[in-house]
Amino acid sequence: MTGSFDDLAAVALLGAARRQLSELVLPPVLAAAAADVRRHRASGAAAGAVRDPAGDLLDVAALATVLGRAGRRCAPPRPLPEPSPPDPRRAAAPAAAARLGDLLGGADHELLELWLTTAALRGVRPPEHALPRLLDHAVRVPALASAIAEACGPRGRWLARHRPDWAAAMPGAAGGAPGAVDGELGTPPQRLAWLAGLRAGDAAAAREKLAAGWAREAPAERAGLLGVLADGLSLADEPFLERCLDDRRSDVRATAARLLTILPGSALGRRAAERARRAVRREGGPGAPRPGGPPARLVVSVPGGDDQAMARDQIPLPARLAPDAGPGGWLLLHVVAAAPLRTWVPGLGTDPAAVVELEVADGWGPVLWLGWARAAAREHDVRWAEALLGAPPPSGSAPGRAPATVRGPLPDLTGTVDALLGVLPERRRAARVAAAVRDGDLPIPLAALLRALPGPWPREVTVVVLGWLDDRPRLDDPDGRAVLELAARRLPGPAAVPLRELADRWPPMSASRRLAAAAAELVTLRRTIVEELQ
Amino acid sequence: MTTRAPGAQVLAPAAGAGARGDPVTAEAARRRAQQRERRMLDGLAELDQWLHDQVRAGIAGTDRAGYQPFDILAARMVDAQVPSVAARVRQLAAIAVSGEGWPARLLEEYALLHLLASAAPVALADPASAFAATVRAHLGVNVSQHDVRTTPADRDRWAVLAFRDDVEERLTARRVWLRGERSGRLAVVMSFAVAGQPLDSSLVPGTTLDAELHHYPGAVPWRALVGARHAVVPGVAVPAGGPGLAAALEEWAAVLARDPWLRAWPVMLGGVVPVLDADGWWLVDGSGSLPLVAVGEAGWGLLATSGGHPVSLLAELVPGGVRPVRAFRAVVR
Repeated sequence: MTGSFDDLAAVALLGAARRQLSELVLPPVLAAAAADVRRHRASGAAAGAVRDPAGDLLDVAALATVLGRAGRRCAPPRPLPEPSPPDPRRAAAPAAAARLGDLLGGADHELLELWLTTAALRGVRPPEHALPRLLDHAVRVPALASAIAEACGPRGRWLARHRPDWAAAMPGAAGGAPGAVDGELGTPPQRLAWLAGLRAGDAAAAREKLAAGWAREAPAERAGLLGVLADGLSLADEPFLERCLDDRRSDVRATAARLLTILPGSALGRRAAERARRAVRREGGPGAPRPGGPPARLVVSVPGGDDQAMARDQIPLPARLAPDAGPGGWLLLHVVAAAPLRTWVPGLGTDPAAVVELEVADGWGPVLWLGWARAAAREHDVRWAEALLGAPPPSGSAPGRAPATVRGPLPDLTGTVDALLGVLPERRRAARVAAAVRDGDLPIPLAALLRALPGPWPREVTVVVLGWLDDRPRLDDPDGRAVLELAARRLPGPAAVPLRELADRWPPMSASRRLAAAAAELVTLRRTIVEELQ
Repeated sequence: MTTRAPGAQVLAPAAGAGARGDPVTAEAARRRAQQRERRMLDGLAELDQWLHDQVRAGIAGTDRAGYQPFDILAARMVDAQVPSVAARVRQLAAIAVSGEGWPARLLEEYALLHLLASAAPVALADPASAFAATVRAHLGVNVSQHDVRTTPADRDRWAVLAFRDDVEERLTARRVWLRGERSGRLAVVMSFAVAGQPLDSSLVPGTTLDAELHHYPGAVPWRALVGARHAVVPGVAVPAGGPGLAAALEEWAAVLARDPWLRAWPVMLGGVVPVLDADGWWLVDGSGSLPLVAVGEAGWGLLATSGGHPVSLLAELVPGGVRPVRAFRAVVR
C-alpha cells in the first residue's frame, strides 16, 4: 500500500489541479472502491456538474488510508533472543516489592543495600518491573553494583545485556568472561581482573607478564597492577619489587615497599628490622627483671634523618611529611612501623603483650605504640592487636587528640585504632569495644570505635551504646550525633524500642529528642525492611 | 463531569430533557439541537472546502507555512462546536513539520477529516443510529454521563488492569483499562482533569470490581463508565492465552470498518514476546511480528517482565503498530 499512497501524496504535493489522479495505476481493490464512491457521488450531484479532481483525490486517499490500516499484516517473525534462564528464588511479597520501589525513589543507598543483601540472603528475587531502575542504580552508584547484580539474579543479567551501560555496570553480565579479555587489551579494570585471575592460577607467569610489559604500562595504572602481586607473594617476586623501589612514581614505590615489608625474609624487611633494632633496645637484660635490679625498659636512640637507603625503603623523611614536628619522633615512628613484627618478639619480650607492657624511657611510649600498631594492622596480627588495644597510650587529653608526648604531637589515633580493631575477629572486636566503653577508657571517640563494628551490633555493644547515650548531658553535640547516626544504621531491630523511650525522656521539641527519635525511626524502618522479606 | 450545559446533551438520542416531560423545555431543547447541528454541518462543509483547496493547489510548502493557517481553521471549528475536529486541525501543523515523509502523513489526516466531513450529514440524518454516535464522538459532542447510564448495564467481574495518563492540550486524560472476567471484553474508563488537578483514582489497578459498566454509544464499544458497584476484591486474573498478533489485526480491521477514525483499540494479547533488536522494539509471536510504538522507558520494564519469554500484553493497536500498556507474566493472582 505504501508505494501507492506515496504516489497519492505526490499528487497532493503538486496539487490535484496540476497532476491527474487518473494517471496513477491504483491497486485493483482500491480502484474498485474508488469507482464505487465516484458513482455514488455522481448520483447525488446535479446533472452536468463538473467533477472536482481535488474531491476525487481526497476520496481515494481516505479509502487508501483506511484500507492500509485495516489491511495491515504482520511482518515475518523476528528472531527471538535466548530467553533468560529461570530464577528459582521466590518472588518478593507485595509489601517488600513496594518497599523496594520506595527505596529506589529515595536517596538512602544503605537502606537499599539492606533490602538487596537481605533479599539475596533469603532467596527472594525483586519484582521484574523494578529491574530497569535497579540497573540504573548500578550505573549511577558503583558501590551498589555488586549487591544489585546478586539481587537481580539471572533475569537482571539477561536484561543488562540489552544495554551497554547496564552491561558495563553489572559484574558478570557482559557476554565474555574476564578471561576473554587479553592482558594487552581492555579497560584498566578488565586488565586488572585479568592479571588477578592469572596470578591466582600461575603466580610466576603473572609476575613475568607484568615485568615484561612494565615499560609500556600507563604510569597511573602501575601501582594498581603491582598490588595484584600481594596474592601469592613469594621471594621469587623480590627482585622485581626491589627494582620497583626505584620507580619514578611514589605510589609504585610505596606499593613495592609495602609488599616487601610483608614478605617474610625479604632484604627490605631485614634492612627495616636492623634499622629498628638500632633505634629501640632493651635495658635490663632478656627475660624477667632480675630480683632487686632495675626493671627492664626500652631505650630509644633516635635514628638519623639523612639516609638515602631509608628514603629508598620508603621511610618518609620528616621534612616532607611533617615540617613542624620534631624529626626524631617522626623518623622513629616510621622506622618502627616499617619493621616486621618478628623484629620485636622474641628480641624484646616473649610475646607481644610482654613487649607492649615494658616501660619506655624518655616518654617515647606512645610513638612506639603507634608504630607497632601500624605494623600489626599491616600484618593482620591478632595477638599484637589484642596486646596493643589492651594497653593504649595514655590519652592525657580528650579522646581522639594526639596522646601527650614530650616528643611533639602524634597523628590522630582514630585510623590506627580502627585498623587494629579490624584485625580482630568480629566477636573479639565487639567485646573489646564494649569493654572500652564500660571502662570509660576511650583512646578515640566512641563513634570512631563503633565504626569498626559492622551491624547489626551484638547485645553487649547495644547495651553499652544505649547506656552511653542515656548518660550523656546532651545528644546534639558532635559526639552524640555521630554515635546516633551509627546507631540508627547498626543497632539491631529490637533496640528501636529502648531508643524510642530514650528519645521520649528528652523535652519535646529539643534537638536531642528529635535526633534520637529519628534514629529510632530508622532502626524501625530497617527492621521492617528485613521483616517484609521474611 | 456529571453536570453539563444543557446544549451539550441534546444531540444524544432519545433521553435528555424531553424525556422528563416538560413540553416547553423539550421544544426549546429540540430547537437548540437543530441549531447546533446546523452550525456543525456548516463548519464541516467549510473544513471540507478548505481541504479541497489544499490538495487542489498542492500541499507543497505546508511544512514551511507555520501554525497560523491551522490555528485560524481550528478557531473556526471551535466556533462550529466541533472541538475534537479543532484539536485534530491544531495537530496538523506538527505533522507538516514532522520531517521525511510528511506529505503522506498529512494527506492521511486530510483524507480522514474529509471522510468525517462527508460522513457527518449522512450519519446525523439518523440521530439514533450507532453510526451517528460514532461520528458525534469524533466531532467532540459530549455525551452526558447520565445518558450513558441509561444504556444497558454490562455486569461482570471487571479486572482493573492498568492506567495511563496522557497530557492532551490543556487537559490530562486518564485511561483505565478494565477486562471482564466472564466476557473477556476490554473497556476503557476515561477521566479528565485540568493540568495539575487530581484525576479520578477510584479504580485501583490490581483489584477486581464486581460492577455494572455502561458503554458509550457508538459503532464499536470501547469507552465505558462504571455504574453500580457491588464489590471490590484485591487481585486480578489475567488469562494466560489470548489472541496472537494476526488475530488481533483481524479484529482491528473489523473495528476500523465500523469506525475508520479510531486511532487506538485496546487488546489483551497472549503469548507475545517483546524483542529489542537492531531495528528497534518489536512484538513477536508465531504469526509474525509488529513494531512496538511509543515505547519509551516503559520498554525496559516490558523486556524485564518477559525475560524473552511469552507474556500477556495489554496494548493498544494503533496505525503504526502496537503501543504497549502493561505486560503480565502468565497468571497474576
